[in-house]
Amino acid sequence: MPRRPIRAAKGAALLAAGVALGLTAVGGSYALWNKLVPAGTGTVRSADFLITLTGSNNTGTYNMVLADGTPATVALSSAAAPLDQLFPDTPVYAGVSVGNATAAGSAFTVKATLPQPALITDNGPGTGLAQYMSVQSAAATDLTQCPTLPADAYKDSFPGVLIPKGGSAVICFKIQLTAAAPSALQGQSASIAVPLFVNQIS
Amino acid sequence: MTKGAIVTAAGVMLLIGGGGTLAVWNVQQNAEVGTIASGDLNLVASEGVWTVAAADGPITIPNINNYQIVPGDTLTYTQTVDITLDGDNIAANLSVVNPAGVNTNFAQGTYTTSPVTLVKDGEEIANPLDENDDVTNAVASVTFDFLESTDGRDSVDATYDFSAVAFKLDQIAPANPVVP
Repeated sequence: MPRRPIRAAKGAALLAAGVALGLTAVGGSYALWNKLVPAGTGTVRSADFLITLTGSNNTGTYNMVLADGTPATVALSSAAAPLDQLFPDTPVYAGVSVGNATAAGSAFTVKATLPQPALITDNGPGTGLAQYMSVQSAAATDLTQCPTLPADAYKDSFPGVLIPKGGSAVICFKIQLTAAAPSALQGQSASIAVPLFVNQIS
Repeated sequence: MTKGAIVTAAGVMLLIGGGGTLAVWNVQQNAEVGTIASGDLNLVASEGVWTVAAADGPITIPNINNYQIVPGDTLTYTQTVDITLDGDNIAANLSVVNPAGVNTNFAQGTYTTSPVTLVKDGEEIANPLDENDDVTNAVASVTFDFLESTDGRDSVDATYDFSAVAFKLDQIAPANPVVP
C-alpha cells in the first residue's frame, strides 16, 4: 500500500519527461526548410556635376565648384600675362574654355550661358573708365580663335553653348573702348566680371 | 607453418558453431511499408538587369555599380524568380529581405523609389504559398527615379544601396496535415 504513491510519482515523472520531450520536439520544428537568395541588386550612385574652367593667358584650369561648394573665380589674365593694352576701337580678347568632365552614365549635355551682363568696375575711385567699355561674347572651339573670329560673331548677349559629356566649348570675350573715351583715361584700368552659368540639359 | 594451421582449424570450428543457430523455426513477412519520398522547396533567382529609360526604349546597364546617374535618369531593376514547392503538406511564406535599400546622401525630394516587390501577372504574390503555388517567372522589380526637378548640385556623389535585398522562402508548419 505505501508503494502506490511512489508508483504514481514515477508515472508523473515519466509524463513530465514525455511532455518535456514533446516541447523539445515542437521547438525543433522551427528549423523547417528555407532558402535565401540574394537579389544582387547592387548600388545606385549619382554622378558628380564636374565642370572645368580654363582661362586664357595660361591662368590655369579649375573646377567650377570648389570643394567647399562655393563657385570658383577664374582669372582670364594675370599680372604675368595681362591683356593687351586697350585703345579706342582696338579691342582686346580673352576667353574661357568650359569642360564637361562628368562621369555620368547616360548622356549628360550641359549648356553654358551668360545670363547676366558683364560687370565692369573701375580700378580705383573716380577714373570713369568703365562707362566707356563694353564686352561682347561669342562661342568658339579653341581659345586661340578668340582674336580671329569675325567681328559679327560677337554679340551683346550670349545665347549659350551646348557641351556634350566629355566635351568642351570656348566662350570668347571682346573688350572694347569706345571712340568717345577721353584721353584723360590713359593708364587707367578696370575689372570685368562675367558670371557664368552651366545647366544640365539632358 | 604449424602454428598457422592450428589457428585456421579453430576458426572453422567457430563458423560451424554459428551456423547451427539457423536451424530453428523462423518466418519472414513483407511489411509493404513502401518508400518515403521528400518534397522540395526551392527558390531560384535569375540574374537581374538594370535599365535606364531612353527615348528609343530602355538601355541595359552592364554593371550598376559602375553607372553614375544624373537628374532625369529613371532606372529600373527587373529579375525573375522561380519558386518550387513540392510536398503534400508543404506551405511556405515568401518575403523580400531588406526591400527598401539604404540611402546615403540623396537629398529628399530629388528622387523617388519604392520597396522591391515580387509580383506574378501584375499582382503581388500572397502568402502563404502551398503545393499548388509553384511559381515560374515571378518578377522582382524596383524603380529609381532621379527627378529632373533636382536643383543646383543637390545629390551629387550620393548612393542608394540595394545590395542587401534578398528573397526568402520559409516553410511553415501546416496547420492541419492532409493525407491525399
